[in-house]
Amino acid sequence: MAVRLPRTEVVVVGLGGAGGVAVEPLTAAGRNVIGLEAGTRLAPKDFAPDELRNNFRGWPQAAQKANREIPVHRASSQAPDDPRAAIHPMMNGVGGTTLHYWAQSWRLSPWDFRVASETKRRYGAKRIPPRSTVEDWPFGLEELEAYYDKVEYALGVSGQAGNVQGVIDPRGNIFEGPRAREYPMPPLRGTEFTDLMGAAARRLGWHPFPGPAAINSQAYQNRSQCMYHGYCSRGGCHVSAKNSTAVSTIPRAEATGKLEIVTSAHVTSIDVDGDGRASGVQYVKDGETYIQPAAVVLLGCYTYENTRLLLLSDSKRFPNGLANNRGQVGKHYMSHNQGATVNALFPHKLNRWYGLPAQGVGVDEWADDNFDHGALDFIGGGNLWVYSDQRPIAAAGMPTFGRAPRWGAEWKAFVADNADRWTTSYLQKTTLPYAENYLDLHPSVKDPLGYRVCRVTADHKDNERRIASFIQDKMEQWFREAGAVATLRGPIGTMGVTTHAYGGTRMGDDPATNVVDRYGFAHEVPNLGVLGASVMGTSGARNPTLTAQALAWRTAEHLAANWSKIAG
Amino acid sequence: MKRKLSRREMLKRAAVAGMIGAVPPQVFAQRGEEPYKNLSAAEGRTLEAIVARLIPSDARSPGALEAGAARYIDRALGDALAASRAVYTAGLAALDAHARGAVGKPFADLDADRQDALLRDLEQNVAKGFAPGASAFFELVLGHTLEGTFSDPHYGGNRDFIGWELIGYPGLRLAVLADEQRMDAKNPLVRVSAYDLPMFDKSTDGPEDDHHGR
Repeated sequence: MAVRLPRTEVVVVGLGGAGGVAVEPLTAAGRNVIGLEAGTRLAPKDFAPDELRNNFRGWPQAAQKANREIPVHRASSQAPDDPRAAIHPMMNGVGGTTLHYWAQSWRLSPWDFRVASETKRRYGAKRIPPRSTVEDWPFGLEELEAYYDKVEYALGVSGQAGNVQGVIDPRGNIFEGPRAREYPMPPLRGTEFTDLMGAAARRLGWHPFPGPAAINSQAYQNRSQCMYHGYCSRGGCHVSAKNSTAVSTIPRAEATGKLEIVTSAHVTSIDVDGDGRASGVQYVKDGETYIQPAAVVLLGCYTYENTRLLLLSDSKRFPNGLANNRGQVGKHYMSHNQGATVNALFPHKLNRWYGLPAQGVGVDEWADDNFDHGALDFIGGGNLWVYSDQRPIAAAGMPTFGRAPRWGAEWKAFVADNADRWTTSYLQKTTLPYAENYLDLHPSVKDPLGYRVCRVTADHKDNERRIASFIQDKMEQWFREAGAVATLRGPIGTMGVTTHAYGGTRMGDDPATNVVDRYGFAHEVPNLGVLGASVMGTSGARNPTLTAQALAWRTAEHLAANWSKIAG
Repeated sequence: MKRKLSRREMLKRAAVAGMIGAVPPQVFAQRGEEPYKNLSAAEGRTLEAIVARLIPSDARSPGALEAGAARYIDRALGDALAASRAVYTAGLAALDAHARGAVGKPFADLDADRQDALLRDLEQNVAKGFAPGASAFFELVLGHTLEGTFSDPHYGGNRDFIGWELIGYPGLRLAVLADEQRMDAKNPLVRVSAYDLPMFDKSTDGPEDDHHGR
């Protein structure tokens, strides 16, 4: 027998990067919020600098809800399932994956909001790749700018502005859209190696810049500055200098007394009433089932789980899953085109043992529509990023650039000499949505509670492959200019389960092609909001989290400002 | 801790004297070792012979066997790598069968060149009798050998920080200054495990839940 709990005003499903942001404006407006989080609370003592545990054994995901429902990927509807990943890419916990992410906190470029219309205007409609379902966002960067600004200051983002109210500052990214003001903190410091890369980029006539990060370059909100210890990637911060929602927005929401958090709560359905409005959610905690009625439901899980929970929540009114009477849930899926990397070998030590992935140097010359695609055979591009971050197991697993075998005496001599003379690069490239790339429920693979897991059907298309090859050329050119003696291109791979997953509940004005409206509320279920990158209609060429957070703040603020209309 | 330091000191002296290459690997492995926990003694012996070829000891430095990579794998097969336990049993048996078929002796009894040739058969997936395939087993063992040689010594490998010494990792620093990130920085070596630092919890389970409060 399920336990029926007292009704609340807002229930937020998932207190990660997006849900953890939404609770601040909601509680500040006086709304009563219950936050249901599948994970537990983690603290600095849990964040040991332990590469094996964090980067190879996937702790803490390995012991969490997410890991019991890892999506299954296949390249196409005709292809067999790939072997299932051993570890879910995201983690549960109060703060979610913002606890251990790279914290790169980018704004999208103005082009990302208008890919369809800008491509038509500049190159003609035929240049939009066949079968792509890309649409313009329902608004441009100018609408989201105020929310980017709010979350940059609420969380704490370090960076160098490149465009303040139209005034270009060449120390920052000259291609970024205009912002109202500077970042709340100066950028993270560079290293001698990232400076060397920056100088090489300038010799090529490019405009390198330090990237933005939700990591303290100096003390912020009474939290420490970054210690650059080298265990930031998939590791939580031991001094709380990484500005996860667990140390910023969530504690402030809790301090209002308006946010009640329930951890280890595994939400299994969103329920509807006779009018087709969301009536609340059901969840399982410690083997007991609870019904949590609410006036408004905000779904703030990861992209895969947002789609999955909607599809699992079928009812008489929504026989194909909640908010899916037009068949759009799971559509317009994208994962970031971030394979096809380039590694480089240098003739001297680089000292990448310390630092963090966000301590680096970026180039946007070849991103988005920052260059003329008239004579090219693709649209979009990629951000080039080189950074200071390496740990011992990964260093020993370095590529040998065709100069040594992969084991044995010769290999050992090679890594002894070269483990600190190589680097990789992080190349985030445009991915467009296509009719063939989508999420649904797997027909047979289930979690231990008996619910079907998410199935990912997706693969890179010609446009993405051409971008990848073009960007690898640019990255090789950059490394060679910086003095690399060898470069090595990696394969593009397929679009497997990833930390950068978009779509499935796309945002747009047309209910025939979008699940949520311009404020993030379902066209078919007006008191159901969706938070996270699942609402994004384009990927951009940079990490999604800040955009998901700006959208979450905007959805929450819209709800607070239109409470009686939405809550009914 | 005392034992580790004295061993390390011994290794250092041996290295200075140019001795390491002359000491048979088994001497390191057999000194005061506990019995294998998850592998049989015979399986352990085969695995030791494999890791000793993947990252061999030589005049320049000790290798994976001395770092305890086989011991790391044995221990992990009882917890984090339990899913691979059966794969090791089958793979180690298949390797011995392959060695007997090719040379008439178990793998561990062969000389280094023969062992290397057989391991290349696995790597190139031409050795028979492995399921799903010889190269899959080879990659599994190679990956775990890297873990056992270069991971935090908390997990039983990287003894005496042999792995970190090999690649020149300066060690754990909880706060790193700008000068310590210079390309030519000569950072003093720090040789501690993360769990030697009192602020970190060894537990790999999550902390307590929030109570329902109603």
